Amino acid sequence: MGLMDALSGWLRQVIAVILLASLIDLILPNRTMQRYVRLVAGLFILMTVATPIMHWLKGDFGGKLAAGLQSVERSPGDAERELAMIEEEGAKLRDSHLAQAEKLVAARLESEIRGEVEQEGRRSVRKVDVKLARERDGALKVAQVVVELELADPEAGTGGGTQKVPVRDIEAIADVDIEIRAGSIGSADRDLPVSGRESGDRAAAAREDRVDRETRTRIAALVASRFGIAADIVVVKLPATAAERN
Amino acid sequence: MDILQIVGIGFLATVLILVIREQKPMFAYLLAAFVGVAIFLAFVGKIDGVISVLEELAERSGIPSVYLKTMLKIIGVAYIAEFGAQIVRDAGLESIATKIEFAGKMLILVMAVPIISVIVETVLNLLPA
Repeated sequence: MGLMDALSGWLRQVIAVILLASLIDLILPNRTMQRYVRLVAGLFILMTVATPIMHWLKGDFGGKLAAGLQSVERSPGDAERELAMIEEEGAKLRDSHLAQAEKLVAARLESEIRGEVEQEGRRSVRKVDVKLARERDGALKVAQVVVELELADPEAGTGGGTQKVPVRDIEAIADVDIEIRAGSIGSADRDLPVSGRESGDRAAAAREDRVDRETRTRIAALVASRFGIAADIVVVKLPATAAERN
Repeated sequence: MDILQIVGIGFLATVLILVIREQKPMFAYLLAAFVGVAIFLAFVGKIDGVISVLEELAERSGIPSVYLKTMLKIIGVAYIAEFGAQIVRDAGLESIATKIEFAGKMLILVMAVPIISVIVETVLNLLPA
């Protein structure tokens, strides 16, 4: 059946090409061109008739013929334009590869820093953001590392993070937050009467501040030493209240 | 109906040209060229139907689209070369008209070169080395 199908397809092609050639012969404007057009049409018919032999001799003669016909159509100007287009496409591809690599590097670095801070710094990390910059020679460089820490009790920053006792203190500090703003606004007028509880709150706030600063420096130093990043481009952000004061 | 209009325009243009030619041969030539271009452009669109039939035929019978494209290009080259040559011939410059026709023939032959090369290659492959 396969042979019969191939044969009928071939016959159909031959008939179609002959019809096409006769139609084109009919359309032609005058006799001067007729001989030339007949030559080309005859070559086409010959090609179609010989298609099975050509397929038998070598696989892809159709592709070769198409390439040849297209190359005849192209003028040198076209070739230049095409080259420019190909080059542009290559540049675009290269850029996208670089961007992808950059993203990959940033993601790897972020996960490593997160792991390191969580393991060594004993603070849980909300988010690590690594910003990369490209130097003039094309090499990648870390421009900034932002480490956002999760909210944690102040003692957990310096001591063991598993202490349960200071949870009570957090409730007390929650009150203090309001007082801190009042204190920071009114920091100029120290002579205002301050109740004993307020002064205790202020001391707690100062202690918290110190702890925060310590945590920040500690984590920045950790990241800087582990990953060989300059410490001044490592930004450690503590949870909201501390970050505002920053 | 179209053909009556075309014949009418052609007839009118011929009479006008014959009258003007006595006084100003230059304008007679310009008028001839203009009428020729106008008729050609008005009816070159009609070839669209023929071409679509050819395309359908090629698609249904499964002949490579390269064949049809090349043949249509050949027809286009033949028409344009013929048209230009006739306008120039109207002005009495037979030599230039011949050159235009020559250019058209060359372009048609250039299109045949890849086919010829493929056939020759096949024939050479058929022969025992």
